[in-house]
Amino acid sequence: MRNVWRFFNSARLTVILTMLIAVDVLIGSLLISFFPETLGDIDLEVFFYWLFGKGLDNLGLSWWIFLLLFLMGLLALNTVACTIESSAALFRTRQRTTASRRRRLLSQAVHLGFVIGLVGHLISSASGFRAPDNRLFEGASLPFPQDPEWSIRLNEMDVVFSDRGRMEKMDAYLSLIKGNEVIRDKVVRLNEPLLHRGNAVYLVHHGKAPRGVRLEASGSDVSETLVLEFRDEDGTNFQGYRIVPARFVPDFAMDNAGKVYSASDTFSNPALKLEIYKGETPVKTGWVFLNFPDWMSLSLDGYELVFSGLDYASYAVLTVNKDPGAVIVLSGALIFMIALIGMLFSKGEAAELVNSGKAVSSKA
Amino acid sequence: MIGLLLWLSIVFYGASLAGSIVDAASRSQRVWTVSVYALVTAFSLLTTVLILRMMETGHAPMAKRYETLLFFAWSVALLNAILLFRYRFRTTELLTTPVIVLALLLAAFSDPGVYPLPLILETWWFEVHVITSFFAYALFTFAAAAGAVYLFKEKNGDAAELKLFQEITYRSTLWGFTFFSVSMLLGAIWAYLAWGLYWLWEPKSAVSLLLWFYFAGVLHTRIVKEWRGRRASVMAVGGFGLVLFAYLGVGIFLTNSHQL
Ligand code: HEM
Repeated sequence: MRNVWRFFNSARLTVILTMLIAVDVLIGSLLISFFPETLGDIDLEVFFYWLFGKGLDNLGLSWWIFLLLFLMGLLALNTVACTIESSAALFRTRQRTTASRRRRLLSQAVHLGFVIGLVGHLISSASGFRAPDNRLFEGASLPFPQDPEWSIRLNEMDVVFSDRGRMEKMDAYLSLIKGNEVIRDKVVRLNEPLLHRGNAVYLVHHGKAPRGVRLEASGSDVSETLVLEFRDEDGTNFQGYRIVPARFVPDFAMDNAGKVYSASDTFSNPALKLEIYKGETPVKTGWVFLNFPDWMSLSLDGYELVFSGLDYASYAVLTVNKDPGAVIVLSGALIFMIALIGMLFSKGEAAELVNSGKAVSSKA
Repeated sequence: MIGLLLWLSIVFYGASLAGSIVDAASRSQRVWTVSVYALVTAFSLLTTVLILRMMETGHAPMAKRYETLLFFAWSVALLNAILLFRYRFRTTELLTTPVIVLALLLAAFSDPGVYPLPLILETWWFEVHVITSFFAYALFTFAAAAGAVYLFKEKNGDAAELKLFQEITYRSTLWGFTFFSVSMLLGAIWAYLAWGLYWLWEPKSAVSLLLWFYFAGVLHTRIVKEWRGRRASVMAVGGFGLVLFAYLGVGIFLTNSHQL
């Protein structure tokens, strides 16, 4: 036991471990750079999920991370042992001056900050979630992954480009919603996320895409434009009928058996299958085509339904993350920094780069 | 205009370096004075270059390689000026001034084009993060220079002088480590605000982590008897190689998501 303590309570071990960590991370940075197909997606998931999944499957490229964990573990024990020993020494001996006592205490706080940061990072690496690539159209809502009572709604995107095509502004107007009640409105932009109960919502980019279709409904007495969202199960009412979009394909095609499929993801031949109800009773079903409005329209009780266009809307791509360890890492880092800076300022002459401000000529 | 001032600054730093070399050999008061004037002129010119560049681009001079080279040179130059005016200490100039001249020469041959900043860099986190890291690099450069002087004088220098250079290496490493820690903390907070992660496994961050642990190690050599003096100095000199790798090497040899 005594030997174990002596092993860990040693500054020689500290120097050796920090050097080993430096070499290990140097190798790691080269591997990350040269094998991005394997190591490029570490940050897309909570760290340990990646490490014990894809990491374990690719030990040839990820061994340095396991070694790093081991070395960090040793360094943490090393730091704890040294800090305990030095605190004990501080209480045993009373004769030290207050200045040196203060410096000692501050250096212990530096070490404590480091260990707290490491513990926080361990928690970060094993908990929370990362949910990238959430596409949200204006007006739509997204529940928080582990907190479905809460959601965010994108009210509006405000994007401005300069004459030369450079993006000058990308603002997403979000509302934070609990149940049906808006709790807070917030403009989210680059470097300014929405933070709430550990959930953090980031605006990554934006775009415009078809969200639904436009139908021109006309008869002898009326002419109306109906807008239907692709996945609108309730449909829309028109002259006592309910018109429901049953299926949309961006590039209509049919196989030999007459089965409809989309030939590609591009909007080359958009087609929409409509189901029409009177009350709950289905009365008609059929396809309408954007490229063939006259030829392929749907007639209904003297009215004509024509697929006249796609309904474009702005969307935001949001990332939602939760990292319960982040605040602990930050606390550790702040303790570390404040104690370190305090130490510099309490060092008196020992913090002067060369000697105290008094002259030290190179000719001395 | 900026290009001309930059070249003038290089010429004056060259003159100041020549002055320090002659001074080291001859110890003539007149040479010392002339080289101080050259250094002050060179530093004023370089500072003017940076100010003009900021006025030209509308942001702090740290967005492209050309600008960071100027800023790196300026950070080392500022430290030289502090050493001269606060401590009247010039021995390490023989090693740090060539670093300034080389960085300025590299800048003079880099692309000085003005490009708009990507939106994500339009935040003061960017400026404070970069400024603190370059101050750290400058201090590590100074630590390496002091370490090199220690190694050079080890055979026949007297004990007091060796102790002085050992102390300088330790103290500048401590200051550099403090600035570097601040820079990493600011970078981590910024990354959290920008991407939702305070840490990213990409080459530049990894190399920063490496530097941080390495210099934490250098600091602790002071409390281990057999690592003091010679080994600590070798480590400080090696640290400068790592600084160069972190600053220039990563951008040149490795793919990275950092802008610099
Ligand atoms: C990576 C982990 C560690 C970090 C980041 C760290 C950081 C620091 C820093 C910044 C200082 C103040 C600089 C100075 O005055 O020299 C310091 C001092 C010190 N550290 Fe560490 N340290 C670490 C681990 C350890 C370990 C494991 C030990 C055990 C031997 C240790 C022992 C000391 C001692 C004895 C001092 C000097 C205290 C004084 O001057 O009164 N450190 N450390």
